[in-house]
Amino acid sequence: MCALNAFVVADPNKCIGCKVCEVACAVVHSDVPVKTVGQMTTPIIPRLYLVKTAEVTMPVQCRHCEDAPCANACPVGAITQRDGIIYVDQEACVGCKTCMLACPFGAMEMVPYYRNGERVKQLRLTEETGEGPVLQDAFVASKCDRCIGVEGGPACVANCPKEALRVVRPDELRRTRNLEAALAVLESVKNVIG
Amino acid sequence: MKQVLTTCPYCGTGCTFYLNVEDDRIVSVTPNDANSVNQGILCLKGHFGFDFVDNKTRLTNPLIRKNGELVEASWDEAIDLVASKMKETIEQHGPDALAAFSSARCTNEENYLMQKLMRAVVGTNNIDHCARL
Amino acid sequence: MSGLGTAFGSGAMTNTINELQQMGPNDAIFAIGTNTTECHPIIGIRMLEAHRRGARLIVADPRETELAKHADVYLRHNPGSDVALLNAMMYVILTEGLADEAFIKSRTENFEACRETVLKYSPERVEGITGVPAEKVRQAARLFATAENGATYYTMGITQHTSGVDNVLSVANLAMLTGNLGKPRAGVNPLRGQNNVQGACDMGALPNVYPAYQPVTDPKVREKFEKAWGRKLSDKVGMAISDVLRGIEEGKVRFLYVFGENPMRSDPDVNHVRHCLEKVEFLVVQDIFLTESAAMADVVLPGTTWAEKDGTFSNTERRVQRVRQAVEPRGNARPDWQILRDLIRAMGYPADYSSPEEIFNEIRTVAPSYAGMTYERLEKLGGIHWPCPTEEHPGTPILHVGKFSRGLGRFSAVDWRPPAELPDDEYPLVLTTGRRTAHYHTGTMTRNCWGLDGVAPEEWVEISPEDAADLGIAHGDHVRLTTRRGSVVARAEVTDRVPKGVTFITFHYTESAGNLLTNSALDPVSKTPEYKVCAVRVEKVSA
Ligand code: SF4
Ligand code: SF4
Ligand code: SF4
Ligand code: SF4
Repeated sequence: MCALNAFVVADPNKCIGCKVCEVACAVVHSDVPVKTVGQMTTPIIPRLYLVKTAEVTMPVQCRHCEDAPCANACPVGAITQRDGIIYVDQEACVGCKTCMLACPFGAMEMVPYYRNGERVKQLRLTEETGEGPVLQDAFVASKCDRCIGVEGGPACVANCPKEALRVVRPDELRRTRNLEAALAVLESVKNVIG
Repeated sequence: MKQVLTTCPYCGTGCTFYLNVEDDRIVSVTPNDANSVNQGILCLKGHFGFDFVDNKTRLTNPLIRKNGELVEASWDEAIDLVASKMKETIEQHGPDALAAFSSARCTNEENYLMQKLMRAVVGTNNIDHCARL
Repeated sequence: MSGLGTAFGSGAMTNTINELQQMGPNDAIFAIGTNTTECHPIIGIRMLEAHRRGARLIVADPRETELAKHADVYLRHNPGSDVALLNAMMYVILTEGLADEAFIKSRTENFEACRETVLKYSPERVEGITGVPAEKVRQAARLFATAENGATYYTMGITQHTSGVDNVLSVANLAMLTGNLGKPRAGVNPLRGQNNVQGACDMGALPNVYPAYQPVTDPKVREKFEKAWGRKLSDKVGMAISDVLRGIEEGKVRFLYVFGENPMRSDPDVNHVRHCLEKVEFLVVQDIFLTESAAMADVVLPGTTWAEKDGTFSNTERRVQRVRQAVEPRGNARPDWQILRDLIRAMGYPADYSSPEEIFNEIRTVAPSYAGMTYERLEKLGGIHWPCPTEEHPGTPILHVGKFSRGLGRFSAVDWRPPAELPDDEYPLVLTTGRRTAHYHTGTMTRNCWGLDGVAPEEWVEISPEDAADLGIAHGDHVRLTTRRGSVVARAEVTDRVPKGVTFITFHYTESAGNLLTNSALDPVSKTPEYKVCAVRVEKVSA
């Protein structure tokens, strides 16, 4: 049996809503090298989204579902499973937003597409303007890729000052929980028997 | 890559971090751990708030108002103009006709010089900064 | 400064940030008027960690901040009712016998006057002023007073009122009443908003004191500085920012030098500031960007950012730390110390400093609290807390141990006064201001950062669901805020974070400068403007 997909999740009891994770994510995924920061022309495009309301504060991102609704819904097969993550092939994405509808977490977002710091245009689709038809900007689906290939692992986890984020590896999670439960039983038995 | 330990320019917490420099540009920030307030962590501003250094709209030359417009000038011209205006104002209206707002964002050494300029050189105590704000 | 100076003899934070990391179940944190997790995130994180270890957390703020959500007791008091709230807490402590009698007796004076005043403020009686149920005030007071150590933290939520000094005096009263000074994990801790507010004060960038708070009116002190600087010095207290603006208005001030500040954004009542900056005969602005203020100047001098120069900053806990040059100055910009040095020289006064270290060594000779610090020691120790009188001295993390700077701690009798401007029929809501995580002060730096502006690019006004419903405003609508001084348009965030009757706006953005709206009424003693309370009308605009 293959391992279950790992994912990043936040602890709402710890998160202070500082947004370090959002910017850290955007920086590692920026398509222009960070060296030119300051001359940056592309907008901030994070892949996790801070929820901050009176009740709860925490970022939300992709769970890398095993039976990924986004992938199952995508009409052009742009979303696939690769190396333990659910991956969006932005070149193949047609911007139909079906995955957005399908994702129960709101982890999928449609974002402007950039290549080498330049806005990518549609191949054909034009918009009628006063100055005649203009090629439309391309939008593609975007979501957490668990920072595959990023040195030091997920940027959001590495940079959160509150250690509010962690990578959950489901199989390990189960084993740790089992161990914790076993120890708890041992503890209570001790108390009873003395 | 050069690493330079320095203190955060934002809030009064005084977190320290290393500026990672390549080709005379700051490329990233690494939080300082030892002997620090922050002990290895930073907030959003400390982490990602450095690129204003290379913002294209930075002032890079002194400006002097001529015929109502701010135009570029040399340092000598700008400093001489300020000095002569200061002297002129002191002569005509006395030292208390001059005032300065110093900066809670700049260094101790600079604040010291600013108040010394006003007190010892101009001769007034009209010096304040925006700590109240 | 004024408030704590009166009570303790020093206006600085009494304890250190890292003490939070030793706090546990016997300790209490009282955060009043500070949105710590947003404005001082690292300190906020330490507070929450201490709370997880069992430290008691009491938060008083009109806005339900992140910190408030975690609090053991959250006191949502009406803006401008701090003194009444603090007096009511002290009432409980006094009447329930929770005061630290021994401390009061041996370390303080003027307690009787304070007691008499406080006894007028039973929690039940002031409910109408504070809006806080009496039982909550009792809980908070007990929680704080029964802790072994209790530390109080505050920021501009306390000081930016016409009663700012009274607020601070009340905080000081509470700390003395519970014996929480001169020991670890306690104290009265004002958190400075800007990186070097403490340093600017320490260096004497104030109209009444030379470096290290030595009064300009003291002849002995003046003589010392005259000798050190070789010039006759003025014995007259200078003008504070607000006096300067008035002085310009009256034709008394004709030359203004603005260094690294943007009064067009940071001062209250922006329209008035604009008028003054237009009126002054000669305006010099030294800054890194062409700010609104710089655009009005006669001469603009391009300074450098902190990454392009050496020096020191003094943080909110009096810790002096090094700033080190990482990159070369951009274009023809020059380190600010060089600009000032050259100007001093051009004025015909000797100034041969070849490095900030030389300036620092001069500071050490005139500021006794810095005397024992050298760049070498700062390097080795990673920072030193003043006072540090000799090169052998380790620095002073905790102030007032065994004895207050002024000798005895002084209690004050403080009565509550209403804010200068209260809501009425025409301006029915209360407007209060503050800042957001991603931005900082006037935004000169942060709004020019890709990462920081990107995550919070637009102004939002917080309004309660009740008020929003009354005014027909939906989340995301464009609304116009109008006060007696001006009006701005921003988008509405309908949220429970603010109580009914209160709206909240920040002052980071040029497009909708919150300070167009705020009241420049000042605290009579500290001259701090009342940013935190003014009356406002909110209307939906069709966009
Ligand atoms: S970085 Fe951590 S504390 Fe900050 S918003 Fe993200 S999860 Fe929350
Ligand atoms: S985007 Fe949504 S649906 Fe797709 S894998 Fe992630 S969480 Fe699941
Ligand atoms: S794991 Fe990487 S891609 Fe996913 S949210 Fe975190 S930083 Fe973004
Ligand atoms: S990193 Fe954040 S908390 Fe630390 S000094 Fe800078 S702004 Fe303040």
